[in-house]
This record gives sequence, structure tokens and C-alpha cells, in this order.
Amino acid sequence: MTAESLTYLFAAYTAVWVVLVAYLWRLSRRLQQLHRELEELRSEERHERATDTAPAQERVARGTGGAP
Amino acid sequence: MQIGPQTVVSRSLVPLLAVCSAASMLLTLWLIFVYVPTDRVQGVVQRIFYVHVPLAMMTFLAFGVTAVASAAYLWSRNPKYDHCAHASAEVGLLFCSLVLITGPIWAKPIWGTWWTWDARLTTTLILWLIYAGYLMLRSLTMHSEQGARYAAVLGIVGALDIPIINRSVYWWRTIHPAVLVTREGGTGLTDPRMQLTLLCSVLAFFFLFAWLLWLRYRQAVLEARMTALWAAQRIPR
Amino acid sequence: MIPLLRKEFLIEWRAREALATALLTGLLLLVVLSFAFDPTSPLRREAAPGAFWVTVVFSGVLAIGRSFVADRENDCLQGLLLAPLDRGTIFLAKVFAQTAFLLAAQLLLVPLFIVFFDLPLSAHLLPWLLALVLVGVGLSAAGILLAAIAVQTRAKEILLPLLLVPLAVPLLLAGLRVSQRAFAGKPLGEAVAWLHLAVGFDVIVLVVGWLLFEYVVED
Repeated sequence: MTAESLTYLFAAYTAVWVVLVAYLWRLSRRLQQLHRELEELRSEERHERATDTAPAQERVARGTGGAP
Repeated sequence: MQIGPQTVVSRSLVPLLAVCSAASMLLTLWLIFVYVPTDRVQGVVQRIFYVHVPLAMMTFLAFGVTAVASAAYLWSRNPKYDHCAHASAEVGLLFCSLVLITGPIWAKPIWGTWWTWDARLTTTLILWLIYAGYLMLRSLTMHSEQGARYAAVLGIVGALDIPIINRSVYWWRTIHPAVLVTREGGTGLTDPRMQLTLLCSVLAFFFLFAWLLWLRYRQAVLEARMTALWAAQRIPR
Repeated sequence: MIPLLRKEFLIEWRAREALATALLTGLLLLVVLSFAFDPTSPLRREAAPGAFWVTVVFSGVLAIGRSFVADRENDCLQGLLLAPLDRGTIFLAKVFAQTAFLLAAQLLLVPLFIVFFDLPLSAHLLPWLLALVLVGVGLSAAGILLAAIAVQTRAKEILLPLLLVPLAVPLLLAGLRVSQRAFAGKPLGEAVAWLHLAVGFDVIVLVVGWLLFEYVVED
């Protein structure tokens, strides 16, 4: 009886923690990816501003204006 | 991008919430496995109760947040409410799934069956179906103003339907001879140590919910901003 | 309101789409369900209310799913929205028309159902029909609101049942309970509460839909 109920207890807590950790992992990975993309965009912007000024600035202005 | 006051708050809030939920969760685990006495009738399995019930409470809180944020979005058209509703629905569905997993594991040794069509179980299952549909609608209308409005309407209708569903499945079972008379709230928990453990656990899961909600919310905000930026730059991805 | 209703009925009269969908899918489900249960078994009569309401809900959902398709294909909704009309009124007109189509289809299904499931004529028809009307209104009201959403997405055929059926669970249960008593030839008794519940559902969904429909059809 006790051994069996311990199995149930173990199963329940394992399920909860596995699911929660998996979700957290997924969230943090997605956030990291988004931060990376943001960096990429930023460096591209900097690059463009350095090479050809006029159209890039216009694009940059539209870019930041479009952000919510 | 520029660093506004919002960003500063979010940067300090995330570690704070993470620390709070980690600390309270560790304390709760200690309370559950070391401190609290074993239930005389149900035995060790009763300890599942201390995660099952807080998870269920946070599920309802999450769907409540979705409904309120949906109404706020329709009223103000501020996309941040839409992100909040989306984030809350997703975390709520996650918690609801965990409720539906831990419930049968607890029920099997105590009631002798994995599942009964009891009012609370049925309501939770239907809730899960409604919000799974909600998230499916969201995934079909990614990041559009139109999709945000649709989701908000569904979020409100779903939340208003919950009390009616609960009432109907409750009657449904009580007219039939009830298989189980004992309700989870009614059995035991007269011991103050059990009450303390439950209270702590509710607090811990509240912090966990707030933390996950905030992370998911940040993700939604960032995703929307990125989509807008890519679109403005017209760079093919 | 009256011209709106006229338009809905005229379209339906020309194409008979909603009626045909509800009737044919209903008939199909009824036939499949009635031979899925062993014809010689006494369990068949026990299963009759369940089979009936599953038929009603699923054929209803399919018919409601068609309700915005014609409007969308001909940009008719666009025209309606340009007219100086309250969006809530458009919603109510659509709901009433849809309810009428559903009820018409179901009234044709009722005699077939009595035949297939071998029901006695002593069954109390009146509460059963009342439940049918209440379920029809609630299903149409929730369905029209959600169909207006679903028709704009990529997965319109799948999305409507996924969203509508869980929300309509109270209606399904109310219909089941009322008709279980009615088929057994018993008076309604305490099952009256289920009719009240269905009325409550209908009122809430009608009011919410009337208020929220403008957000759905904004563009």
C-alpha cells in the first residue's frame, strides 16, 4: 500500500516539475532567440547608417516608428 | 532601442519574481515532504493535494486575467493588454493541464478510478478545451490587430460561460447518484500545519504564475516589436 | 431589422444552404447512430436522447459554419456594414434567421427520430420542443458570433466546432435531461431547472453577442 502510494506521489510531482521546467526552458530559449534577433537588427542598422545615410535613416525612422 | 522606465522595471521585476517563486517553492517543498503530517485516511498520496489545489486556483486566476485583459483591450485598444491576455491564457492552459494530470494520479489510489465525470473534473476538462481553442485561434491569426480583437471576444465569452458550465455539470452529477460524496475541500485540513502548508503552496504557485506570466508577456511584446521592425525594414527573413 | 431578416430568408430560399446542410448531416448522423446501437437491444432507447442531441449540435454547428460564407464571397457583409445600421441589429437578425433554419431542419428530423429509435407517442412532445427552441437560439447566437470570427481565419471549417462545442455544453446537457424525462413519458418535474438554465444561457449569449459583434466585424 505505502510503496504503491509513494509511486503515485512520485509520479504526480515528477509530472508537474518536468512540465514546468520544460515550459520555462522553452520560454527562455525563445526570449534568447528574440534578443539575438534584436541585436542582429541593431548591428545591421548601424552598418547601414555607416554606408549610405539618407535612405537608411528613413528606414530606421520608419522602423522605430512602427514598433509598438 | 531606447531604455524607458518600463524596461528598467521589467529588468528588476523578473529576477525578483524568479527569486520569490524559487524561494517560496523550496520552502513549500520542504513543508510538503518534511513538515506536514501524513493524512490519516488518505495516506501519503494526500500530499498531491498541495500542488493540485494551488494549480487549480491559479488556473482560474489565469483565465480571469485573460478575460479582464481582453475587455481592457477592446476598450482601450492598447496592444499590451492583448499580449497580457495571450500570455495569461497560455500559462493558464499549462496549469490546467497539470491539474488534469495530477487529479487522476491522486484519484486512482483514493477513489479507485482514474476519472469520474464529477462536476469539478468535467468543468476543468471543458475549460481546457475552451482555452485550447482560444490558443488555436491565436495561432491562426498571428500578430494582427484583427486576431487580437477576435481573441478578446472569445476570451470574454469563454469566461462568462464558465459559471454556466459549472452549474450545468454540477446538476448533471447530483441528479444522478453521486459516486463520491467526499469533496477535496471537505476532507481533513483541520490540522493547522496542513493549512499552513496549503497557504504557502498557494503563495508559491502565485509567484510562479506571476513570473511565468511576466516572461511570456515579455516574449509577446518582443515578438510584436520584432515583427513590426522586420516589416518596416522589408528584409526578407 | 425586417429588411435584414428578409434578406437572410431570401438568400436561404434561393440557395437552401443552411437548411440542406442541417437536414442532410442531421439525417446522416441519425442513421449512423441508430444502426451503431444494436437494434434489438433495450439499451437503444436509453441512448436515444444522447443520439438526438449529438445530432442536433453537430448538424447545427455545420449549418452555422456556412452562414457567413455566402456573405463573404459576395462582399455582402461589407455592404451591410456600410449601411447606417447598428451592428447589434445585424447580429440579432442573423441569429433569428439561423434559429429559424435550424428549427425547420430539426422539426423535419423529429419524426424520423421517433421512427428510428422506436419512441412511443406517449412521449411528452411539448417540453422536448421547448428545449429544442431554447437550444436552437443559444446555439445560433454563440455560433453566429464565433462563425464571424472563424470565417476570417485559414481553418474556418475546423475552428468553429472546436470553439463552439465546448461553450455549448450546458445547452447539450439541458436538452439531454429534458428529453430523457420526456421520452420516458414522465412529466418535467425538477427538470424545469434545466429549461431555466437554457434560458439563462440564451439571454447571456444574446446580450454578449449584441454588444461584442461590432468588434468582430469592424473591418
